[in-house]
Amino acid sequence: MNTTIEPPVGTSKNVGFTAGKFLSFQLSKEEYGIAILKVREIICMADITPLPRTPEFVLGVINLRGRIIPVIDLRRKFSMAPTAFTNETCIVVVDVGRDADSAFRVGCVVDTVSEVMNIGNDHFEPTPRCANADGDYIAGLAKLKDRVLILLDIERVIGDLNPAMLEQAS
Amino acid sequence: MPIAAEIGSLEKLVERLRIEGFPVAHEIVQQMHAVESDARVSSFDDLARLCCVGAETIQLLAANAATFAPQAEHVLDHLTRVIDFANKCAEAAHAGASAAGIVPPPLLTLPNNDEETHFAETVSMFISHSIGVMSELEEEVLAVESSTKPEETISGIRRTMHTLKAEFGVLNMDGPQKLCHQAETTIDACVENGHGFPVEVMLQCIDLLKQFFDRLTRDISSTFGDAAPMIASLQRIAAEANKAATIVEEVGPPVVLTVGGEFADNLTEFITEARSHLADAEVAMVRLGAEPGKLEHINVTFRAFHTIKGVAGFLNLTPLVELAHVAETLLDGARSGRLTFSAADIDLVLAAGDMITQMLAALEGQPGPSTGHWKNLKARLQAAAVGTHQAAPGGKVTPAAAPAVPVAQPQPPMPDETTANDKVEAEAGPVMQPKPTAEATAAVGGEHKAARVDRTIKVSTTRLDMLVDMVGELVIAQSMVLQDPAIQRLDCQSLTRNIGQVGKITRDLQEAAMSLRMVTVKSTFQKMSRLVRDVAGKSGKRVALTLAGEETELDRNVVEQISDPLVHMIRNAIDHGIETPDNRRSKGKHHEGHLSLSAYHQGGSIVIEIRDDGSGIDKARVIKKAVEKGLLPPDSTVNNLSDSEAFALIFLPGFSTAEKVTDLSGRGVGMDVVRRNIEALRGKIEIDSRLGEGTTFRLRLPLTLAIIDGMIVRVGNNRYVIPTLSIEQSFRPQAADVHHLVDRGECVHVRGTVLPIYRLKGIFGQSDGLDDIAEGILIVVELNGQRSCLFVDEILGQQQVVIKSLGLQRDRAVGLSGGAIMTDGRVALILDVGTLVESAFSF
Repeated sequence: MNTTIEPPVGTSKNVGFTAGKFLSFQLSKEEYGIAILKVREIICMADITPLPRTPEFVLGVINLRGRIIPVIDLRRKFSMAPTAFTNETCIVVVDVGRDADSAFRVGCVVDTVSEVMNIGNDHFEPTPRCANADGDYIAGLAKLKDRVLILLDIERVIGDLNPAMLEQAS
Repeated sequence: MPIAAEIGSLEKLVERLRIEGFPVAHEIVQQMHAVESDARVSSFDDLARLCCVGAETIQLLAANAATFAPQAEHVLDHLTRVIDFANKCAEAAHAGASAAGIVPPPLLTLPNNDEETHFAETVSMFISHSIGVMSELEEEVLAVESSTKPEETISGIRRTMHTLKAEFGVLNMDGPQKLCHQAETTIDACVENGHGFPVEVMLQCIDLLKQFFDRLTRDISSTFGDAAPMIASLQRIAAEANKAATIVEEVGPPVVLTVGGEFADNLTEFITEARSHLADAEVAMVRLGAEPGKLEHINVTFRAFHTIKGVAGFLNLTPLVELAHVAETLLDGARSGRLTFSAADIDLVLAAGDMITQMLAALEGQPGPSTGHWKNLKARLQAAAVGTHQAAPGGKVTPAAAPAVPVAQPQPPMPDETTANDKVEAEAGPVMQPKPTAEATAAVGGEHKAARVDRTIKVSTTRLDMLVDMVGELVIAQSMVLQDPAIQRLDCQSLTRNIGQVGKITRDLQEAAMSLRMVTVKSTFQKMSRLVRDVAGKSGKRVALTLAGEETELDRNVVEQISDPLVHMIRNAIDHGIETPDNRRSKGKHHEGHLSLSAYHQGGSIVIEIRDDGSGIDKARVIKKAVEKGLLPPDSTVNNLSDSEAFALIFLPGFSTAEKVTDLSGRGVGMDVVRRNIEALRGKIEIDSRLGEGTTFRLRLPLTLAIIDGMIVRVGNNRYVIPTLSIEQSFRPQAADVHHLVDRGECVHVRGTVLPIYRLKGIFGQSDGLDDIAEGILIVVELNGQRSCLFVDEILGQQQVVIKSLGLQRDRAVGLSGGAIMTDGRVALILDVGTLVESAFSF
């Protein structure tokens, strides 16, 4: 695991989870969350240049103010049926890596972003055991009043794209 | 008693901090400043300082809760001590006693285990700086072996070690600090006792430190590891050197250079000019080595020294004038044909150039050469000028009686620098009669005030990249404004013109921003010519070097990074590749080996080529050695490895075919360094070698930030950029010229040759785009002599584009070398013709 994520003292079950602010977004009716510290910005859907010979979930590359970054479709990444982009579709740009210089920056296409919320240790629930292999991408669940938020371990989701990154971080 | 009240409030805050934590931190900071100012009024200096430093540190820590939390204990502990101390001070003052006897607690320091603090920044700055320093240091250590004036290089190394030691000390890194200290001691012991510079062990030392920095870059909390064995071997060498103490060469104090005269203000210009003259002279001298007796080179050098002497005369730089003068005398002798200019003379002149360079550096505040060396060199030059070479330094001086020079007799070495050498100066400065001024400045010794010299500034490349990116965006934004329908509807000519003007300026700005990073490889190449000469001399070989493509521009980073590998490869080429003159004659080759160093663009990358006509790489021997060293399974033979596989073995760490380790090579480190450096640049090394005929190394370097000329083509809805360098021609094919080969794809007849056709559409799996070849365009591309055709829908135009990384892992994008941002802000993919065509076979 990346060393920047330090488990809070005394909550050994919460490995890989840090209480704090999360950005929530929707993918096919489910609600997901990413630690806000990993999110660099949220941009509107941009012109994507397809990248040949890449896995299907890699939609292509975009120009993010002079820097070219790959864009992945989280729906396809999680084997959900792709849908047409709407006005609400947007790209969540995340930074994975230790610092700004070596960060691996990737755009993730999501159906819509909802809000930024505080999730404390008491909301957190580890991934249930029924999760299949995709469970690797899930850091855990957040039980909120009326719903459940799936917390993504974005480093692992993106790590698929760049295994070298994972090695470095470990 | 106001201070007691302030301390009281601080105490209360500390109690709150203990309970409430972080939110109180800022109040604490304020209160500490309050105590500080009261402490100053009551002249409790220690307390004031404690509070000041404490407040600043807490403020830093309190930047956010996350950084503060782990340090809360530490801060509380410190605050308690400060309050205790403050109370004691206040009591002492109240009782009328002096507070001087009370020992203050240590200052609050930043903890060194917290990644998020200031400390981490300091360390990362230190690391990035030190990595550069390490390679410079390595270069210097390597240079000691080949340098004609090793003393200066060594003192440079010692200084660097010393600085490193101090920096490690500041950062509380004990291990490396001790190592640097011992290295310094060992160098001193070896040099002082005339034991020779411990190159080997210093390189090991540097390797160790480099590895440490490597680890640090990956993980800031890395530890140094066990330095004890290294320190022990350093100590052993120092002990040996001390034991074997021999004659100590007289070094003396540094030469004193005093700037005076009416032209002292022109010092900066003088230094810059003199440097360029010396560079010319050095190049000329090195060339003279290759073309002995060529008068032109001697003349160039003569003029260089003469000019330097003249201007230095105006500035009253007596020691410099004297040195330049004797060098000039020697050169004049050669120019007038009175002397034959030998290789030893070249060495001497080069040495004089080096010493003058050092004196120039001395004028800028760096340590200058010592009087001993100065005298010594002058005496040797004088001796050479009358045709007798003086082997032993510091021997008897024969004054030169050179009739061709207007000055009757160069002065013998003068111990007293303050009495100006009138004769030389009068000769040197025909216009002015300079007088040594009493208010002589810039006495040179090391820590003295440096003269004001214009310097370039170091800018981080990230910032430059950012600038380039932003300017690029500006260009796009400008064209978007220009093409905005709303603006076009306005139909206002002056507005269109003004927007056009903005566009022009932004494009100029873009070009300027790009050029900031680009430098030519010239200086690196010239350094190599010196190296070749020195290494060849040392190994008893004759080597001629030709340089080509020195004007090729490369990213500054890349240029800096290729210097190291080039040094290693050239040393290898000379030491292992090129044979001794006798050996060469017996093989029917010219007795002088030939080494060529060239730089050129090829297929969108830059290639640095090192070609020698030596013995080539003996594949069988390489394999045998690799088996011996356990790098290959024991049953490996020549047959089951291809040439390139076998040659790749030489890059393995620890691999060396040398029978014994010489001071040139054989440690099996060099080629490993080459490989690592080139890989770090994401470059590639190709080796061509024929036994008995020579070896060619090609360093293929990608253009990290480089501009290429590209042809923009369209396939369906996608645009691609093909590097113009790879394009031979393009044409619209006739259906009749296209043939379909069963199972082998398609080919086309072009001017009598048949070329294979690759459809970009097919290679990239696009669903849109033309299918009928006769409707589209075929582009003939060439790479490594292989020609083929790419089929595209149409050509959109040609333009310069900046290659940018796609931000992906590389092997996920076969056939692409990067992306370019087009004028509409979208990304177009840049084709890598080489891998594209290769990979097309698998489709």
